[in-house]
Amino acid sequence: MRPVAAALALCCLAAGAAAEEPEREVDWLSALRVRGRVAEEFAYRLHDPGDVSKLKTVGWLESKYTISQAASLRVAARGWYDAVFDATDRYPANVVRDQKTELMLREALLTLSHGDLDARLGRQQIVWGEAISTFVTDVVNPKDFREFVLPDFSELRIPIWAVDATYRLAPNVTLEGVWTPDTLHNKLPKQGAEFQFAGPEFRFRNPVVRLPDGLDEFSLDRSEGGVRLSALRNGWDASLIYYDQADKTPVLLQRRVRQPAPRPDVIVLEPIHPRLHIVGATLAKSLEPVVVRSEVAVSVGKRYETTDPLDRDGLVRRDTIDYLVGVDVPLFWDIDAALQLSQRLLTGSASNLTQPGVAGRATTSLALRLTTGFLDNTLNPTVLFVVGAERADFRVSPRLEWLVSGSVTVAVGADIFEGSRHTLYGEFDRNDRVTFTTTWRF
Amino acid sequence: MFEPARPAIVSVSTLLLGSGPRFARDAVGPVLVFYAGWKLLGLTAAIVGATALALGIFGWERRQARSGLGAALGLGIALTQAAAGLATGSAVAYFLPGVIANALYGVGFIVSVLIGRPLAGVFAQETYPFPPAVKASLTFRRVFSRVSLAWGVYLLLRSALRLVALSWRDVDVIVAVNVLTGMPFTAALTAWSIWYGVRGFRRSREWGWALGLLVTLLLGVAGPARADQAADIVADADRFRRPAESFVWKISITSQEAKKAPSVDGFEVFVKGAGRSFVKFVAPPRSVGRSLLALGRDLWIYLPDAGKPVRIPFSQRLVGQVANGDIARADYTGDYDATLVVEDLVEGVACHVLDLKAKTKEVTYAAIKYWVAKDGRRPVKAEFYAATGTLLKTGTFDTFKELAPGRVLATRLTLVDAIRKDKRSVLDYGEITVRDLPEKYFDKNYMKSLD
Repeated sequence: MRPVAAALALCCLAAGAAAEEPEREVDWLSALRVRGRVAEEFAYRLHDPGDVSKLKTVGWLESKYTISQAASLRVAARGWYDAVFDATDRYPANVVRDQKTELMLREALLTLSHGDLDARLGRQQIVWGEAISTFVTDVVNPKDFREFVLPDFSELRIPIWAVDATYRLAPNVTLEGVWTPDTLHNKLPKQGAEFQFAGPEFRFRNPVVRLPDGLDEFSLDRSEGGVRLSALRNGWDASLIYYDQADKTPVLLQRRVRQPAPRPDVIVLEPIHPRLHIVGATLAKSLEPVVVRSEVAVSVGKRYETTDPLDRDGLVRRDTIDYLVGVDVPLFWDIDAALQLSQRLLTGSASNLTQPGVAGRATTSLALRLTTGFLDNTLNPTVLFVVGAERADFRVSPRLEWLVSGSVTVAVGADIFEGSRHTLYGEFDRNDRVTFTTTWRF
Repeated sequence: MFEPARPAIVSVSTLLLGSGPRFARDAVGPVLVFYAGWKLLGLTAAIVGATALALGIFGWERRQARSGLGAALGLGIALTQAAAGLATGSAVAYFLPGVIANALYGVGFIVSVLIGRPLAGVFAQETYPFPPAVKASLTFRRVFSRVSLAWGVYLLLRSALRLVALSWRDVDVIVAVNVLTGMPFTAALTAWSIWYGVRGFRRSREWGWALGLLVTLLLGVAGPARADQAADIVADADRFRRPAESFVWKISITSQEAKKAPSVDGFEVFVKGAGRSFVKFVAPPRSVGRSLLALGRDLWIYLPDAGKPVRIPFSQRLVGQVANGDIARADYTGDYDATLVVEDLVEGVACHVLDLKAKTKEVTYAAIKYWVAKDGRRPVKAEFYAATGTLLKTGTFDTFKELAPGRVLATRLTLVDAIRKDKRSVLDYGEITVRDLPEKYFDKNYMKSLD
């Protein structure tokens, strides 16, 4: 398998890099670090019908071996079994196959250093951007949306095999280059899944054939990559990015295939991933005790599905600007507040576009997260409120985390969605749930 | 004990932090209020909200005894916009006076240069009170003419873009163009104007010496010997908290509270030079994987769940009574201006008592009252204060040991909450490794690699 061969080759390179720096005596056992966690995640769906929707046992195991000061190797894996698929018969077989069990290599990474140059080679997450809980400039890794955007973002990102090299041009000025032939797409829920997205509402009179999405695979031709230049000057943390990639979410290209008379033409819907050129910038600054952050990304070549019957291929190009402005500010009673305004702007009309996440030519979202801590920060309540300004659909996620000990945490929470059916949060109006999670770390 | 703050020192950062947020507030505050009101409640509410904010800003500026020139202009435009918006019932019409005013500003800036009375100089007096002799000087005219030209060109270009946006008649686009061409550019141009202005005066033969003298005076030239002595004492005391220029230090923090079992957190702290430290969380298991990076007065936290470094303030609580800055910064000399105020006895030890005042807002505490032993100048005790003058906590330094060759160090700092005396955190400084750490350890992009 190519990735394994590549990893072995990189190990040989590591030996070379290791020779670059004088070594201190390190015994192999102290150079090896192993840690992990096991979590039991329970969710109860509140409506139609009220029933258990998650009974998942998840395990993570990660290890780091420091070969030398100039080289290290990391491996991490995650596996789960969701007993809800055996305990209930509410989900179709394709969803059971997709979500009941999973074992995934989350990281297989060789890190090499030589002077001001660092290279990370292997399966990894590459995270760009300043803001948390948003993907404006976090564009490198595809995402796993099978549980909407509810899990931690490090769990949402799907790791890819990539080369990530960083070179320090000057103190606090860094140039980063990323290249990957691993052209994975976003993982979307199957039909009938708990958080299945509403698809575009086509009304064809003709028979329709929907082709499967192209298989994810390694491809040099379709390889993706980009650069990030980041600098810190007088406390202003700024970066510029460029990334060339295939759209991680497929759009359906329509083709009309003629049939022998008198049979009607068949409409073929083919999922495609148009090429995107993403240009962006980030900015962050601490104005004690307030922190401000901003991100902007322009996606050139972005396409959307349209229900306009006069459109030949069912797709329209709308270059898209995503931006956010956020501020973190401490309030009274030790409450930390993070307020974030984000907007998606289309360079053209939004009529006939059907995605729930697109409310119009401008789609505005306002997010507020409040966090505090009691009992010496062992009891930590958090509430996240996100509202779509145009259509007033929203999500509220209160959560209370109790640090039982240094290794064990227990959390109770809820995810409440409201809004009309064709909105980003409203489409999950019937999926309100309460959750209970215990995590043991070692 | 803590007298009012001194006048600000003339530096780019103090000027920028003093006036930058006000500029940004005046530039986009009413627009954002209008937009939120328009989205949620409708046009009339939006206009009333934006106008009320402009009125509030103007009133606030007058109460702060500033001329409020920017806010007054903002209020004038806001009232015109309100009239236009309410009269026509159109959100697009509401924005038109602002665009026209923007273009007029641009023309005004350029004309002011041509007639030799640069408008930027007038606005600059909002930021810093220039003496009349300075205002009449050639340097003043030269520097602010160039600044005015830059603003004139920017405002005209912005007006053109906003006109194009208005022609689309889409309020979302109008607001987006307004905000995107407003706040970022206003902030950048403000920063540049202040930097250019300060540099222009510093480099000028006419006024450079005077600015230098002013800075010296503001720094306390009235008592130079006493200030020097205070700074020396703090620098000597800092040496008991820093074993070398570059080192790795293992620290454990035990947080205690009455009727509760103590909890222990472990850290590995990498320090290089003054103001650069990387803090790795090593215990308990729930914290492992996190790290902090402090570069000067900037701080990031790396959270495995987020997968990237995130900016945070220094004053945010790390664990127990310990703030991020307590671990990440051990440099009172660099962060605070010291004044020697009195002498005192602490448990039989004769001490100098010093008032430390934060040089900027970005440090952990606004002020520290610091007891340093007269004999040997080792730190003994400290009281940490918030900007309001409230005592936050008290710290005592003890268990002095020779942990590095020839360096005696305070290996224990006990922090006690000012209100709840039963809440305390004990920082124990353990094993030290003195070595030259690579520069990249102090780069936020490298934080994940050090996990």
